[in-house]
Amino acid sequence: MKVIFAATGQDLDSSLDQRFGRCPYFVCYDTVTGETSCIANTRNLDAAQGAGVQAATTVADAGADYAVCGHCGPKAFRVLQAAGVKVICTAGGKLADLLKDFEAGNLQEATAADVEGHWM
Amino acid sequence: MNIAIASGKGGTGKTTVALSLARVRAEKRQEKVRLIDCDVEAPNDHLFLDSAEVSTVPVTLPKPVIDEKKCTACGKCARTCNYNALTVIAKKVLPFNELCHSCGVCGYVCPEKAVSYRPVEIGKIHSVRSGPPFALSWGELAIGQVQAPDIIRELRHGIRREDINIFDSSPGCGCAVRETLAGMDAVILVTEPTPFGLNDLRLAAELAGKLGIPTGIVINRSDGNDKIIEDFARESGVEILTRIPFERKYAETYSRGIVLAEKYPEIETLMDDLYGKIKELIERAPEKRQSVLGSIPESGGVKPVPAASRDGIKEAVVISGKGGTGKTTVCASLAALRPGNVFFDADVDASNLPILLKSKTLSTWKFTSGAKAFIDYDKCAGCGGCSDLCRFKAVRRYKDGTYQVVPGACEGCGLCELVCPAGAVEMIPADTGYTHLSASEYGKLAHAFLNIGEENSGKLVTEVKNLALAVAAEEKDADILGDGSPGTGCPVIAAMAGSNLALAVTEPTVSGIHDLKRVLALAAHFDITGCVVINKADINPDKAAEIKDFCRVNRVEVIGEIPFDEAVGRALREGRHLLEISSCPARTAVENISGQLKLKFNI
Repeated sequence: MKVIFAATGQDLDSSLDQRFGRCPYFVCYDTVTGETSCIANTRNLDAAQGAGVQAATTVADAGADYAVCGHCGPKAFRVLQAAGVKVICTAGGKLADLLKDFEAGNLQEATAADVEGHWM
Repeated sequence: MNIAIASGKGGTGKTTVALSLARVRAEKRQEKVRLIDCDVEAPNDHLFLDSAEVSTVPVTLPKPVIDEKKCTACGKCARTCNYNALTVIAKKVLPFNELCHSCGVCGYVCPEKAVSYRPVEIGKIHSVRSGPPFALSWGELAIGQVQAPDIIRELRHGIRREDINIFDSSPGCGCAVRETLAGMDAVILVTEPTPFGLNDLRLAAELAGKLGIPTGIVINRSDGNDKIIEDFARESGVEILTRIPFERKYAETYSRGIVLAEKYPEIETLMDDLYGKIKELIERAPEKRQSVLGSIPESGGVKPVPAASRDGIKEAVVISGKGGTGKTTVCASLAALRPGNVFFDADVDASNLPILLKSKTLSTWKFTSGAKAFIDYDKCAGCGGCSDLCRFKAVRRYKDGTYQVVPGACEGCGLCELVCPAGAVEMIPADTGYTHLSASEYGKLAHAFLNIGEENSGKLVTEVKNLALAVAAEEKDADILGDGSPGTGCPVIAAMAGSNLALAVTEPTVSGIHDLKRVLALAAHFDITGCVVINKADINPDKAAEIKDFCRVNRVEVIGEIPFDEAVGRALREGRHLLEISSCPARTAVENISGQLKLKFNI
């Protein structure tokens, strides 16, 4: 199973980014192999608009089963849902700690976007 | 006659002038008047009027529909769309109408002809037939939609030139204002006699000058010493039409939602005078004005890049929800009480913190965003295909039969490049502004300049913040204090992202409370601690109490109240912040606020 975090840095020592579309990196963790990899979100950081949609596509195309982020807007949520990726919105913290919480089943799956687009 | 009331930014008294002028012409002078509120993101003219019968019509634009039987999910539409409005997920194309600019590229590139278009509502136009003594209409952009100019274009529909049409523009100098100003006979710029007022006025005058519209100035909150604006008027050739005096009673009346001309006969006289001057302005042959902005030299050099982690750097951002609440004044005064830290100004539309901190520019970098079409004159065969298909009417045919892109009108969809059989169109990265690093007496300052008529997406704000973070990491023990952008949209989100504290400066007025609630909700979404400062707290004690109640219920701390103090107005006119003037009630209040910030939030 693959878990992808919206992250401020490139590995599990970095923190969760509150933004989904405009976080600088996605950190991927494979629960079977225990391997960690990283996808830069540079193109979306530069996008004038639609970063959420493209970021969600990136995460889905990377084969995520779960996407963990601070908040998720409606457009990104729609894409992830269509791709069958489960979304978890949680408070900030170090990714390594969040991963422990995830594996212990303490993180709850979101059933809808938790913020409006552009946080309005 | 079409008259626009504009200003470089909010809070200068645009709405006051528009409403008073409309009321006096219609009610006292019995003329046919229509007031058109073009601030489609936050229309509020109607809040001041009893609107009985309101009729509403939707504004629609064509948006793509995918025929799933024909679609092979090849992804060509999604790859070509410059607005990220389509994506392919699980072998299906998902369109996002809120992001779509209705350019038609997806339909053009689809090899299976699987894309058709249907009209989708992007907003509404409201019109009042009876109630106020004049006709009133306003636009309302649906939440999440981006096409404000399309609503404004629709608002102009069916306007009769023989009536007096007053267009209350949205603040700023962006694409919505440019659309409002198109087709105006005159534009009135409302300003204040302060260095910021001047800065914002200069930008708005530049936009009006570029569009070749006769322009005049109304000085609001004038105390008789308006030298700063008078000097500008003389240098630029933009005439001062009238002055509204600085009086506490006007601020109090406005805070209750009452039109000034309704209550004060002297305002009625001023509006008559203003109207006469506007007519003279229009009758005079328009002169070609010189640019009022100098060119910005690019310094080059390596731009500092922020580290991935913040490494213990604390950050506080001053926000307000609406312009003109005193955000920058509070921020500059707090900066003066925190020497050695790094500061930033996220108001890239009209950057005022550098003026108040009297900073000197150290480095300047160009900022590019998106792309704009460019037609190669030598290659263009003059077929006109681009011009026919461009939804933004951004390609114009010139007398010699060639086609050129209208500066500012191109939204960068790239359809012209796709359709051109001669390969004459190229999409080139668009220079949309500059980022600056400056030095002030109190520390380094990151700020930016957004080119006139460009839309601010928050990207430039992120650039400014990254610059501040990089500089703070280089300096020893430096924290960050920023002046946020006005409003509650994307630029404010960018300004607050990753901050530890959002300090909201509000004022006890109807609109002040409304905007405060929105901006605090925004901070809460980001898990950023919010706190509140009430500026001019004593002009409306009831509203101030309402703010305090709201904050108590929502567990947001009110860390200070600044009394209405004429010394503040005097200081600002001289370009000084509160720490540069001798002791006065407002200065004492800000010093206390600074102490509270250290005590309660360790910032």
